[in-house]
Amino acid sequence: MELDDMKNIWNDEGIEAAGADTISAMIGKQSQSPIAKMKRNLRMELWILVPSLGIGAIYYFIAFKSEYSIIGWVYTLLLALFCYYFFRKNKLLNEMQCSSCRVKSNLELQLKMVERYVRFYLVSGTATLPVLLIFMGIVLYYKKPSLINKTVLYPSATNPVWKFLLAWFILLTVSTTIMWLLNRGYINKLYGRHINKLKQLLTQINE
Amino acid sequence: MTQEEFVRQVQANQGILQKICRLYGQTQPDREDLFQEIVVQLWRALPKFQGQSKFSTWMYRVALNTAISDFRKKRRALHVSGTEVTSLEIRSELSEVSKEERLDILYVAISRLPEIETAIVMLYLENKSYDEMEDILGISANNLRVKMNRIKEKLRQLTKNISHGT
Repeated sequence: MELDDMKNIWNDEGIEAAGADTISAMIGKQSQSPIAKMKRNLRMELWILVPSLGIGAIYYFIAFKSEYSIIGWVYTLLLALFCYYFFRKNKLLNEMQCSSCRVKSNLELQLKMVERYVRFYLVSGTATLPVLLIFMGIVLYYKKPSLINKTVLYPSATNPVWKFLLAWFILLTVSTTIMWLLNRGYINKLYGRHINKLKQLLTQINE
Repeated sequence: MTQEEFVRQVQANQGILQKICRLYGQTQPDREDLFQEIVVQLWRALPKFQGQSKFSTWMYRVALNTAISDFRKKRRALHVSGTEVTSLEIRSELSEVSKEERLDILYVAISRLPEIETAIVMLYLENKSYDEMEDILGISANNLRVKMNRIKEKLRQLTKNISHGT
């Protein structure tokens, strides 16, 4: 079968046409593309996390007055960090797709933006734990001074500065490494196949 | 462009979309989902259409971008059933294979190609010039000529195999 001989048959093929009403109804429907789904998930995260953190902050400010207001501030800081995280991720998702562009440049753009998105996800996800540990350390230092002499995590008469610094260094290094490995595995599971597929499509184009 | 005009344009060019859906969707529901997704993406991308290229060229870009990079269900090659194959094999020797059956074999063969080659051969069958194909796919015309020669050879082999049931 020669391809050129098939052109006429190909172009004569009868197509079952969709009516105007069917097409109009499709316009209003939700997109099922992976990027649209990622945007919807992100919005859901926003609707869950913002009220939870906001309520947490208000609770600590009101219920404990000034005693634990620092925890209220920690919640507020987390809320601010999450808002930044949301806007940054949303911006990356909005820039991820250019369906009017040429196929090759759309694939290149998607690959670049997905890799950037994954890097941001990995860095922000990993940084959360050490930041929280440091905050909790500071809070406990001021609010529970009785702990100071009982742990190597605070300097005291029996705990020299080098020991305290070494303890924090080990705690932060170990926790950050574990968090990074867990995050990397999770992100790879979520986006690894997507990235490989994009690379494979670009190889098909360039070979 | 108003919604009515848009719907009219999509209706007028929907043969293109149906063929893309037939090539990239595995089953009838997959094809219907893909058709809907392409219409949604076309409507969303419409504000970016500035009339610098033909509506159909722009439509090819959006539809192929959607089919290739968004519709990530694993493509499974279409196939012709065993009894159909035996019948095709005998009748192809007698040159009695109908146009529809030849078209079916062609669709099966194209579905066995990688995604990008599927797009190239579809545009070729749609009588697009290499310059237009470059404008849609972003692959240089020279590279497309080389690829097309390779694809023709692959398809010759694939259609032969399909007619012989392998």
